Amino acid sequence: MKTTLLLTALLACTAGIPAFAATPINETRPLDARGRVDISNVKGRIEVRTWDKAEVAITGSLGEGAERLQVEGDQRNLEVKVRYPRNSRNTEPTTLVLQVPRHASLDIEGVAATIDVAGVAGDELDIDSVSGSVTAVGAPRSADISSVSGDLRLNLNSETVEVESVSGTIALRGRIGGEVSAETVSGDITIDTRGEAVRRFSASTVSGNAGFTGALADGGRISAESVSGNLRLTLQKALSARVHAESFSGSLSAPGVSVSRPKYGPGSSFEHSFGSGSGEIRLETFSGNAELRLE
Amino acid sequence: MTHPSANDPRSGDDMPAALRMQLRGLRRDALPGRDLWPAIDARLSDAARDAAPTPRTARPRRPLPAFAAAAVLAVALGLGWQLRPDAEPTAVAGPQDAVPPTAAPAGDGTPAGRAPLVVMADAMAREYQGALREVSAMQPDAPAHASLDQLDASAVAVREALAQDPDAQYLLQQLQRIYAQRLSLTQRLARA
Repeated sequence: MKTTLLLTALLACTAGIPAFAATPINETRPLDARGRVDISNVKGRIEVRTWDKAEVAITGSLGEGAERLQVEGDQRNLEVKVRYPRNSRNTEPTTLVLQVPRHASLDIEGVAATIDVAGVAGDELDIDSVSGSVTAVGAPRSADISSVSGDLRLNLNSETVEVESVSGTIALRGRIGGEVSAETVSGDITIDTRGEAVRRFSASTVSGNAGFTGALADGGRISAESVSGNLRLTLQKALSARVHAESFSGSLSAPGVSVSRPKYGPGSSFEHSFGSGSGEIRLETFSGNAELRLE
Repeated sequence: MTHPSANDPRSGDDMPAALRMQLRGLRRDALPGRDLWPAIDARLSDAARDAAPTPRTARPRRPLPAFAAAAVLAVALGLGWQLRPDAEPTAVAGPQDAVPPTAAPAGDGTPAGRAPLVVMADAMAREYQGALREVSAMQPDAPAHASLDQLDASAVAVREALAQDPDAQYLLQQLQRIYAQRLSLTQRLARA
């Protein structure tokens, strides 16, 4: 009996034990200041904060039914993964709280896990969720964030940002001077670069509404398309771009443009140059409305 | 680029294997002995003109066949990735009628009388359905199921829009994106 108790106590001190109830997690690993951390948790919560230490601290609790917490890798690339028994559907949520070096790159994967990241300023921030919401605040050089039904609330000062969802809404704010790409199926897209001029912006949605507020850099390109969702671009008054817009049955509007409609059949379109026309903007919808505003 | 002999991917039970072989075949490059494009272009233009029930609007015509071929190739390569040999095997028990029936086509209902992009969309749908059967997962939980339904409904909406506006390249591109997302999500849920 004593041996059994002793063995149980010893096992409880290691990371790779079967969890009989919510099991506290407390692990620390060294990581280079610009190292990479891959984090995976199917259900529960993933919270990442940053510090100036060259190490990763992992706390939280392993949900009942989860098999173990797997922590593998080296100082350059660390993997933190919650392992589940095969075909296990009745596991309790696991909470992972990580402290990572401020300039570490992150690759986070969740299914029904809420993901909350703050303070990161590494080269890459990749987040992939299914139904869990994603909140991210930071200044990674590039960010690639996707979900299926979870909402994305992002405040990023980055060079390039790619965001994608099926039905989740996308709200992105931040100084983004390079490229922004946003795709949804039914989720709404709201992007505000806080006056920063992007080199390239593309948005695609089926039935969601897409709005972009910001500026277009000299020679930059914007393309936005939807099936039934409405498109709205709010750009700088001193816009310099050729704009082409067309719709099958939606309405088109922009300051000072003349929308042409065929005498017979559906469809409307316009072509117009603003300023010296150095950039290019293309708007296409099937039944959604498209609007360009200059402020 | 050469294409292997046209095996109908829907025929027989070995469709996924046939599709894989076709996809592998796409990797081989070979130049034709003469410039084939003028004749292809002429035939596709004739088909598109025959299919148009009313004069098109003032919207400019674009290089549709080239785009459509590129879009389908992108789908094919995407499917190739989904069906790559080292992909984790998944259960084959796809949802019935994951993709609802094709939207009412423009034209007379025969392939020869329909707009090229609509024909391409139908071909994409068939390939997608075959691939979906291959990667379909166990019964997903409710939120994930709602997302799959959402994708299916959106694919139907896009195909209906394309049937009405058969020159809209971006719709074909959106359809391709939806199919790729649907396959990817199905596969991912199978692994979760």
